[in-house]
Amino acid sequence: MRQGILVRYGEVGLKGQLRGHFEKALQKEILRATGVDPRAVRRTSGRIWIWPEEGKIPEVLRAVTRVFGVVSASPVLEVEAEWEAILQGALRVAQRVRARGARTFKVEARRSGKSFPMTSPEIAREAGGVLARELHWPVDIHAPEATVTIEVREKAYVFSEVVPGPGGLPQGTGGKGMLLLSGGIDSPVAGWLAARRGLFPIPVYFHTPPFTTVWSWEKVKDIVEVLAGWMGPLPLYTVPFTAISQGIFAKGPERLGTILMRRFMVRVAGKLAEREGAGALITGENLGQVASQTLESMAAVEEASPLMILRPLLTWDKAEITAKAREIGTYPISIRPYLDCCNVFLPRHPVTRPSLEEVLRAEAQLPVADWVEEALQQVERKEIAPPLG
Amino acid sequence: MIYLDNAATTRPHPDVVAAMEKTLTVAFGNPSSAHGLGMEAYRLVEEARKRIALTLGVERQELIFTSGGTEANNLALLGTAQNAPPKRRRILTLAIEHDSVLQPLAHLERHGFAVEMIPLHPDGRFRPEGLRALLTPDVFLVSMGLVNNEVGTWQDVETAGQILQEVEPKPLFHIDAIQAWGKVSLRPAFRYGDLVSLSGHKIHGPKGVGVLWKRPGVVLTPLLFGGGQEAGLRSGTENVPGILGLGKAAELLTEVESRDEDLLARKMILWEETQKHLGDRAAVNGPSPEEGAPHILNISVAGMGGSVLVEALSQKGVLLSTGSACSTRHMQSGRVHRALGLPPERGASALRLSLSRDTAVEDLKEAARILGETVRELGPIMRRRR
Ligand SMILES: Cc1ncc(COP(=O)(O)O)c(C=O)c1O
Repeated sequence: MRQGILVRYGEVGLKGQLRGHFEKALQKEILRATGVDPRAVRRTSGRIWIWPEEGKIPEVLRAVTRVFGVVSASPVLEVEAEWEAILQGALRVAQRVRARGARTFKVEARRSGKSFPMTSPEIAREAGGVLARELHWPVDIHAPEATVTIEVREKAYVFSEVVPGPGGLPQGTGGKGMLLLSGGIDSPVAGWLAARRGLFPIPVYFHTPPFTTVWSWEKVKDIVEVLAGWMGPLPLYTVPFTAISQGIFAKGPERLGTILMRRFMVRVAGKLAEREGAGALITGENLGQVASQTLESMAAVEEASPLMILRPLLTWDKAEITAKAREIGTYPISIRPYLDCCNVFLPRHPVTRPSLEEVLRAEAQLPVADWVEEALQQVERKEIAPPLG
Repeated sequence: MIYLDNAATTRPHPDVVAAMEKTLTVAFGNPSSAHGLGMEAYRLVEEARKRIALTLGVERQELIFTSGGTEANNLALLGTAQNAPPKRRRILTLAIEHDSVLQPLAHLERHGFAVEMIPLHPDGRFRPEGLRALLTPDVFLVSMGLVNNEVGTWQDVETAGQILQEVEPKPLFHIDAIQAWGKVSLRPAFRYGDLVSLSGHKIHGPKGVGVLWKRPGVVLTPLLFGGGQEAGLRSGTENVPGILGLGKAAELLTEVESRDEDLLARKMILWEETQKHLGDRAAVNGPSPEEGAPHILNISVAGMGGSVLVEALSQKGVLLSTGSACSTRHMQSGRVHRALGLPPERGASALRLSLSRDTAVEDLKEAARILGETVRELGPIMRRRR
């Protein structure tokens, strides 16, 4: 008898070569996230089995249910395919779920191959009867609070608890994107959503000291650390942006300040994308929340971007974003109130529906290439590791 | 690095560190243990207590060691209020007090007490006639800081104490002397106060240790119950390293007659140099520099965000605080500035420069020069926002 973890995955409709690609990437990600010996991971019949060292089950279960591509995972007991052993295993698993407060249960059984002498319905009925009797536990076939599953093959497997994973596609199957990260609530969520579709987000933070303080930078690092908890070590790019912001506000019309700044940001991020081999930019933009997030503003910014800009949150409501940020774990960090109240680089009367023409005209006065080059020379790249434990 | 944030905390003196280290390596016993090692720890704690009592001019059995100034304030306020008669549930304090005073009082307010603010002069000093007007026999407790931690107002606790004697029964008088210790004389506090709070890390001692002085006869209910240490008023195995560090730090303080005039002279140099570099762009908040505490200078630089300057100066190695929040990191409206009747811009642009006896005159001049230079650099950008 041994304990392990059964991992379920799969996108509906993923077939053939693509499926193989997916499975390979997923297996790699599971190894990265759990740190278990590669020999302890096996893939059979569309599922992955992990047999970690003794005592590591809770830790590995937690790690594996944070791997993109994992639909769910269950702690599982492997026993000999003999009736007595199966009953003992079922009892052990049942006792644990019972102790957690499930008031009713049923047994489901699956037999593959015909070597085992009982049929699936027989196994379910007989085992259900024994558990009900031994544990004084009422059976409820239609709406049980717990389901004990028995699968019989060369060996038999018993499990009950099912922990959901994030689903989606494994890390890296969708390439890389530069994530424009602020300290706010939205952009980390956008990065997480991209990552869930296999698009590896590389965060870029535009830092404007002394108008934003070291504490905001610290906050961004903490946010990236939480994201790294989902996707493994992440490189964080920090771009000193004070000089450019200053230049824009000194030379350009103030009301276009935000749009011009964002045009510089996408240019710098685009250059960094070249270094990293990233194929897109990702932002936390969301239609119509603030002046700079009208369709016209986004279009005026996008025009300067060498890469397409992905906006996973475009149509989300604030409440949905906040709920997701809580789920991911970035929310409490995002709402830390730092003294960046003196944001001088905010136009007093920003244009909400800029015409591209006037933006281009304003920008023609600025030494665009030089400024981008200067910023790139001062960029800092720092690897952020996942949080301990 | 030029460290001008001594009102936040001070650098521990090497002798303090040495005294503490001894209790962490050799004399690590528990003062309650029966054996020799415990005995030694007990003796060290009691010697520190004696030494602190001596420097303060009080009796050692009147001192209660706590986990810091915050706990000393909480113990003084909550520990006495628990014994307030039902008909005496008013408490008077100042709107500029530290949060470790105002928050326990807010807690008491939620439990049936009425907390009222004594009116202030624009420099933060309480108005004697305002205190008198509020003072009736149902006032149980008055709490006042001897030196304010943000703008450096130096309160006349002697006058306050005399006014309190005009009413029968006399209310208890708690004095937060945490920012005052070593900077101005504490004698009036011990003369007129019933409870006086002190903290280690503002006098080059360690963080996490403080002391509450309690006049004999004042009834105090503990906040922490347990092994009965500190005469049952503060249970918990003694913070032996902290207490020894505190003892050493107290011993290293030099006696101040009224106010540390040498320190004040240096603060005046800082102010004059600041004016030299900033002209009338710099305005003092709170008391005029020559009147306040000798180590705190709170100024606003017109049109400059306090946090922006703190960040910019920090990059240049000059460390100070915004002058408008008890915690610089967190967005907080300028509570103290508002209480002094200053406009919000003054709070938002406030800086607190705070000195210690270690601060060199050269560093003050250099800091003022860097401040002026930084304001000139950032000024044009900030002015866009006007
Ligand atoms: C006036 C005043 N009271 C209380 C405190 C709190 O003391 P401690 O930091 O030791 O808890 C401080 C300093 O933070 C203070 O300046």
